Amino acid sequence: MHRCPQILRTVAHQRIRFVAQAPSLQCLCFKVLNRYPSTRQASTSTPFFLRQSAKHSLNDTKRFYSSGSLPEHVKVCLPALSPTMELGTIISWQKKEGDKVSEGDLLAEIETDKAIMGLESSDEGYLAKILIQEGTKDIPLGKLMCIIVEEEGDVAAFKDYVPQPGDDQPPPGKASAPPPPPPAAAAPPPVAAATSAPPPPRPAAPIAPPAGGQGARIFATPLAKTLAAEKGVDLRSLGGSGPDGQIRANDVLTATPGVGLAPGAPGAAVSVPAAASTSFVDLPLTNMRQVIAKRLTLSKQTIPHYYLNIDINVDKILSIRKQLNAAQARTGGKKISVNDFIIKASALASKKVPEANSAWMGDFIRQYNTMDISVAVATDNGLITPIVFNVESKGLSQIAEDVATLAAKAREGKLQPQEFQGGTFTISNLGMFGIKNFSAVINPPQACILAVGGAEQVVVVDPDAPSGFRSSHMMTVTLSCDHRVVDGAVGAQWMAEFKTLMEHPEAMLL
Amino acid sequence: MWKNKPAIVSGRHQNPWLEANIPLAASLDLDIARRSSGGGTVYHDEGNLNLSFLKSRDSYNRKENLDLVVEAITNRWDIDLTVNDRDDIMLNKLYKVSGTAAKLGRLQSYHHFTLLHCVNQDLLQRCLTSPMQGASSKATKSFPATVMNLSEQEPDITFESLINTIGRHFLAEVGQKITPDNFHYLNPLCEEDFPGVTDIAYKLQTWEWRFGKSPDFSIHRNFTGQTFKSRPYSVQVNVAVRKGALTSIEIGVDNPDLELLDCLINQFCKDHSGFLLMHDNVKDFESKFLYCFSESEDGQSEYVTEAQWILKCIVSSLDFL
Repeated sequence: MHRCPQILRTVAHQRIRFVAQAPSLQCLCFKVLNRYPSTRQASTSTPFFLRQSAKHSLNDTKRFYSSGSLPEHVKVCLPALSPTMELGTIISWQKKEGDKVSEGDLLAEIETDKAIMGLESSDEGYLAKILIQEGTKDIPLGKLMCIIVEEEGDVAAFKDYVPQPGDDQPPPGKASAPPPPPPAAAAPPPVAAATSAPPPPRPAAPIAPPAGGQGARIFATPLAKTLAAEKGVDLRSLGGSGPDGQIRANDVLTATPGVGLAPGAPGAAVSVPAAASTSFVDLPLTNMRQVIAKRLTLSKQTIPHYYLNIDINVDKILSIRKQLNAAQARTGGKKISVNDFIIKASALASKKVPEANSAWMGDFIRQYNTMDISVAVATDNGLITPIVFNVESKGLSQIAEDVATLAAKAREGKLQPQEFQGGTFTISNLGMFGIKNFSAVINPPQACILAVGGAEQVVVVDPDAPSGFRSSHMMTVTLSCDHRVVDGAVGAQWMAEFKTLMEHPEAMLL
Repeated sequence: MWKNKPAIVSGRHQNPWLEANIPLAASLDLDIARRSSGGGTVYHDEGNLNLSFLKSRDSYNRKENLDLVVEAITNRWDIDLTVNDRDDIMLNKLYKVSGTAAKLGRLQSYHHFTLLHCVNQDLLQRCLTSPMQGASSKATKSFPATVMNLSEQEPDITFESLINTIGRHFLAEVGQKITPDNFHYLNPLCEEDFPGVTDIAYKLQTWEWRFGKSPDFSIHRNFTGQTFKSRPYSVQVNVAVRKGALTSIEIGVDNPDLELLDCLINQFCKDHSGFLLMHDNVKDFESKFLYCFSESEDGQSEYVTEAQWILKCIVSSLDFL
């Protein structure tokens, strides 16, 4: 008798009928041997699991798909019969409920993509229950099709079996758990990460663990492991169809090629062995990064952006700022920055051109009466835009205070949702990084965003000066507009108003 | 590579009644066939070249076969042929000149496709337009497309020149010499060369295979325009077909005066359904019906007229046969 340790053990522990069946198990052993000649050694002392041996496993207490009162059974799900298969139609069942099924027997004829293929059984036993009737179209991969039991007597137990949601085994790569729902609206314009000395980073959102188990031990049958090594499939990326998610040989054989080589779902940072030429590290996506990605892509893809540029002479602003800060120093108030002026000027310009202070709502445009300006703040974890509410009714010092508080909160990760969700207009300032000008991405559902560059000292033409020129501080701003809400001329009007307010700050008093 | 006399060929999981004009085909004496591979319904005549690539399961590669044929043709003639992602060969990227289907066995496979070089396009359109109405089924649906003949673009393309060009290119690709041994004509129905083919051919010609293998379907029709006792009414006909047999006919008449007739007719239908969906069987059903619902007593003549109208509705629902 063939000396496979598994079978001997099986025979020793099972009831009489298994001894009687031993010869067929022996044949099976060799059949499997012959099918994978390259992986099997001639020596019979090599221990290996038969495809079916999961049922006759060492641990007899470990039941295979035991769900309460149902006897041991195998769930047959629709496998990928070709690498490009996504859906299948059952043309006909070649076996009826109650029929005997041998390994290799044709179970059903499947049509996929104009090709007819046979679904063969990889298990022995009796067909207990057919769950999808012949003629059913567009069955997704992994859907539970039928149940095979070992013994004829167990067929009746499945007479009224109702498929459970967990029965289906969708293919690997799609099985990973989705990331937890991201916190709402935090979509900022593109910005480089903050370079200044970082305060303690905000707590990162929990990262979704990948399905299929990751970390120390991969739970797979030895045959599956050998086959995976041969095929170059990463076992970590496969879903297992065995008990407790054990990966069986069948799972490896039906894995789509190339699926295993990259990690399936976001997980801990993994260094993939260099198939590429440079070394790299894969960073998991934080919640914030995912939200930024999603919202910005949506914005750029759906909003018809256009851009208006204007140069602003900020000499007057700078001198007024000096005076005001001197006064602030005396009273102990917050220092006012050029950005605060910009915020105020934007609000006042929006009052004159309310279209820029609107939101695209799909069927209608909402024109806001208050100016709630979102101010972009760079944090270690990404960009966030806290809101300064009712800017039109606030003075510069109040604005300065609000901005400072919000920025601090943002960097500590302590912003409340209502403090960054909403807003009617956004301002993004990259001047402090030396950027001359840039175009920002609109923050939906707002209609505009103002991108502010750094002020530079430049030579300007001055017919009044004796030399014909003078030096001036010039700053470039770019207004990105949603053409569905703000037409070119309207945007230009806004810019004109803004420029007037910035170059003649006394007009802000009106 | 082969051609056949005019025929309509449907895919394994299709409903020929739903895909083709069966009455027209019958009147023109066209064969109606079903293949073992999947895909949609096509029209063949001697202006169509069929190509079957019989390979092992491991060598199954549709793109490879299609590319080979496209290359062979475009090497010889200057025409714009491309393979699209449905594995159709397109002429000038607009017109379909070929449709593909395949069957995979355990160890072998075949991939076959058509090539329209001189087919009767008018007949093709008429044959592939089904007169069936009101049907719902889970059968695979065909994907209609505008076709064109290769010979319209290049008159030199004929059956002979095609098999020559493609055959030579194939042999060159697989590294074989072009000798009579490698390129020979055969009779696929020869039992000696292909043992078992007679049985297969017989099975493929049975009604059970060609029509009976259609997936279950049902027909719902609504007929109006008839009045009874100056009250207009409509007749609903619901037919269910399983494995090519009419398993149930149900009618619904929305006139309360005809309720009794409704019951009687439904009872009759229950007793006399279950026949295979063939012309003769329907004729049989008709004559039985007329006999049953004929005048035997006075005062029934008005019902007889309505019964005959309802019969007309039922027969009309089955006019796609």
